[in-house]
Amino acid sequence: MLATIVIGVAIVAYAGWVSYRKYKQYKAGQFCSCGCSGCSSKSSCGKKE
Amino acid sequence: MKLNDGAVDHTYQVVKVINLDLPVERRLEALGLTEGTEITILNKKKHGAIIVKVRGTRFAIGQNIAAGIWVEEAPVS
Amino acid sequence: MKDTVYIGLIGNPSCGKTTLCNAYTGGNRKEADWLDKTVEKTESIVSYHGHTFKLVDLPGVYSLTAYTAEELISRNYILSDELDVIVNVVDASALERNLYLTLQLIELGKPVVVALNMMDMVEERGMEIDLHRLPEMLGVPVVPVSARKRRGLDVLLHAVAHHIDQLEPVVLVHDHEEQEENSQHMHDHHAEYAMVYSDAIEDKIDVVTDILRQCYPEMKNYRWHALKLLEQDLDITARYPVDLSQVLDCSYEKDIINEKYDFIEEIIGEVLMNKEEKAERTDKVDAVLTHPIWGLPIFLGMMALIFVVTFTVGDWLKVVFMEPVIEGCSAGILRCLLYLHVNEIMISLVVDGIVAGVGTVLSFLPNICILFLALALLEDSGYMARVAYVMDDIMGKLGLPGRAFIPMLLGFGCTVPAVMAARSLEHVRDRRKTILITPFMSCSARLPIYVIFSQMFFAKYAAVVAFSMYVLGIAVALLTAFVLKFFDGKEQKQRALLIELPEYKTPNLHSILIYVWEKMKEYFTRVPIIFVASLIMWVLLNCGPGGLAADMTQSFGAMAGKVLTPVFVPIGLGYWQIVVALISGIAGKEVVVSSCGILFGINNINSQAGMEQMLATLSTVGFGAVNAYALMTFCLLYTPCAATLATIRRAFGSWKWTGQAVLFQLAVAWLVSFVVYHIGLLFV
Repeated sequence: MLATIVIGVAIVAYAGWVSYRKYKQYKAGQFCSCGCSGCSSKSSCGKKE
Repeated sequence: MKLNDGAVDHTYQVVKVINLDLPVERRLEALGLTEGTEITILNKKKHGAIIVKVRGTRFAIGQNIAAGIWVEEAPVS
Repeated sequence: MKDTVYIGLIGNPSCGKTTLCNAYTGGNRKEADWLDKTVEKTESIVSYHGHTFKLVDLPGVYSLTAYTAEELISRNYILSDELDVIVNVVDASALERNLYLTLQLIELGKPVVVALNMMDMVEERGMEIDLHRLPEMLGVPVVPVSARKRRGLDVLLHAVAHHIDQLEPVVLVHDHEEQEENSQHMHDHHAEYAMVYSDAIEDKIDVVTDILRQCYPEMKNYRWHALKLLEQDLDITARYPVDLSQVLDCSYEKDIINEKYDFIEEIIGEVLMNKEEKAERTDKVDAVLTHPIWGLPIFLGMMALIFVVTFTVGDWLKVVFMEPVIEGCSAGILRCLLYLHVNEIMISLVVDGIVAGVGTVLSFLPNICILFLALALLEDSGYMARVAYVMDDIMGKLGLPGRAFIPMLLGFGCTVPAVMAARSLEHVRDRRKTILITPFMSCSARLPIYVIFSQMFFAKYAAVVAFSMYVLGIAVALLTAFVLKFFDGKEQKQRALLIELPEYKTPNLHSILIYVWEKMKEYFTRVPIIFVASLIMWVLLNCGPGGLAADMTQSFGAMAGKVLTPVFVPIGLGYWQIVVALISGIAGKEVVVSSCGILFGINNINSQAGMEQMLATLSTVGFGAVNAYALMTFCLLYTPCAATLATIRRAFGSWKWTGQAVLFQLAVAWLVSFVVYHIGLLFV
């Protein structure tokens, strides 16, 4: 039972952390779905045309 | 004559550039397309873009831009 | 010397700046040409002999006017206090054109070192450059390098280190005695400046300089500012308003440019030997690839070839590599969990939900890699530029500039950078149209959907079917552009194509492999998202109103799906599982496949056994080949993933336009799927 709880908590924590990080990325203007190192969106985001 | 009317594999000399948006004109100049420059037509579509060689570099130029570039036969050097 | 030296790397587009950067840093950036234009500056750090150098890779520009954002960014950065030295990367095989920027850079007044790149190409062609004379004429050090072969890199840094304080300026030596004698101009500039203009201009420079001295005593580099004002440079004129009515009757930009080129011709004459380059190879290839009639079919043929290879080789890799690894991991995790006596439900969540979801997405890695490999090969060889030329006519008829096809091509990789690239188009209307239709260009995340369904239902013809999806996407995109053209109105701005066609070169395997490796790593960064998406999917599909659902059909997910199912019946997709899978596609299109697996209870859908099972399951509910084709069509066209939506929203600047785009895409997806489905039924 303990293992189940530990794993459960770990999963939820990880999911939460990923979501939080994604949210921060969107806020900062990075919308890359592909990792952002090659994506030009990383640098051009935040600019209005 | 306009660049559009030129023949493939012929070299011409630029006479003037008219009727183009200023940024486009400046871009062309920055690339070295000034009056007196030699320009060679490498490839041409019937009614479309042209591939030219200017100062050793190849460019694809749209029909509209080519229409604004006036050339004459280059003197044989 | 300062602690950190800031070096600005600047040069023409495709002069090898980024390759040079990579060579120093062991590189993880792809050479920026057509597919990945560097629009902003990127920094890397290099150490050399105890000093730290920060390489700032600036956007590729042909000159430093105020006409485009890229040029302004570069110019302002160079003028800033942060920059110490400019390294002007010059393509030695196109010296004439590259020197124009060099002259402008020198006039900025900051230390310049010229890195003469692509010397290996110069040698190949039998050209020779007088490396002794060139620095004498320019007044700046010139270091030959070959970024591809990694030669001259240390020498370059060494030269930079010594040139920062300009303690040992390079002496100018040129044959301008005649000019000097004939000149009426007051000053003798020839010893000081490489670029000396005609009397008329030099006189005006003096006048403007005097005025500037009075109004802006703190200004550095009067000469440059004076020149800019004579050119009526928008940026400088706005920042330093002065009364020039006495002096400036018109813009001297043309004259200044012409005189620069006259000087460049002089330099070339002195410095370049054996100018008749063996450029025949490129011309011969171009004669075929840009043939007025055959150019387009050849392009389509190339794309077709790419997809065939993506399928055949990709699948082989998958069977040999991915499947065993993924199944092994999956089984291993299961054993672990059983050993730990983990609760049954939790096991299901982990194995059937998360592992299945993530595993499925990862199993497509080979296909993705090959696709990117092929695209990179095409681009590195120089072919992609020709594509813009070949497509120009068609784009013109659709009311779009030829350049607009490049963002669309990018969309084959990922729609996000494609939308970003579309933002660089000049007219708002073009931007809007291009952004609207770019999502129809099938992104790499949709590839798994085609791979699975075309293999399941079309066996031998799988590659053809998948290819047809790409063609369909292009067709719908172009058709949409065509229709939109009628709403364009009278003001038809000139659609102007103007791009450089680089020489064809054998693709640099090293940089391509780095690129593919980078793409692979990026693919892995999808994993966390898939993790969360799979988790949510599992919850939605296994929890119902009464707590844990007995079977999937009682779950929340099923309920939601069933509500929307009627809408999908006319297009052959009237199955709640499919609907739910489609909805899950918001996270990313690959999720649709893994969702399908979960929804139909198939483990490892991307395997021989899994597909057979899926096929059987689907057949029992009446889902056949035509439905599969309709499904693929719908996936091709409907709303893109959340990341893309966010990017579109950013590009349009409002939710209103984005919302319209979403509705539009949904409508198009539904309509086309409808047509496709019913036509398909006629054949069955």
